[in-house]
Amino acid sequence: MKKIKQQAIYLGAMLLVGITMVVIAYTGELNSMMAGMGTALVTVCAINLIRLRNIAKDPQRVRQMEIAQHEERNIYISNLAAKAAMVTTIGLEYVVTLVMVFLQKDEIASALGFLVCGQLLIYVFFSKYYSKKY
Amino acid sequence: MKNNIAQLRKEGHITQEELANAVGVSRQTIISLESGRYTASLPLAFRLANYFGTTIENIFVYEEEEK
Repeated sequence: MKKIKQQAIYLGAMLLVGITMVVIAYTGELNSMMAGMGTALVTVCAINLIRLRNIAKDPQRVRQMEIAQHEERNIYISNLAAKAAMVTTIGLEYVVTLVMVFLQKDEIASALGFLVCGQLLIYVFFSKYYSKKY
Repeated sequence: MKNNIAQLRKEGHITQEELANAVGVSRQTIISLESGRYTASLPLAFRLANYFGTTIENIFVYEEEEK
């Protein structure tokens, strides 16, 4: 139940941010991008708040949700997905960097190259950190 | 890693849902464990052993991977 309350507070805060964005977008000079993002944020937060309210009414669903959040298989799947996403992203960035070099778009190639190097350095940093920790 | 979870569960006339609730996981995890697609962590292995009133060795069968 504690987790549901935390999620509700977070969603409520995001809902307020969304409403603020919509109000700012429509009161000043109309900013379609801000209006779109605000509307999307309000919609997503409102739907999730309604879903949370429905779950909170049913103790069985609350228990299932709590199990799902702490369950080791879900955490394992999440870690695998994060690892796959990171490897795919770095691989794609590397390929695009090479394409940009080939197309003589040096600035984009340099920026992407630095990004790839940065990600690899961050990986090495955390790898060393966890190696010492465990 | 093979396991005897399905066998022990059937011997005790326990449903996957009941076992899942007892050891604090989802039914999907029990399905994955029984089919061998997922290997339990040590804490979950202990919870399963406690639940069935047996040892971890009686539930999980370690097999060396072929080289």
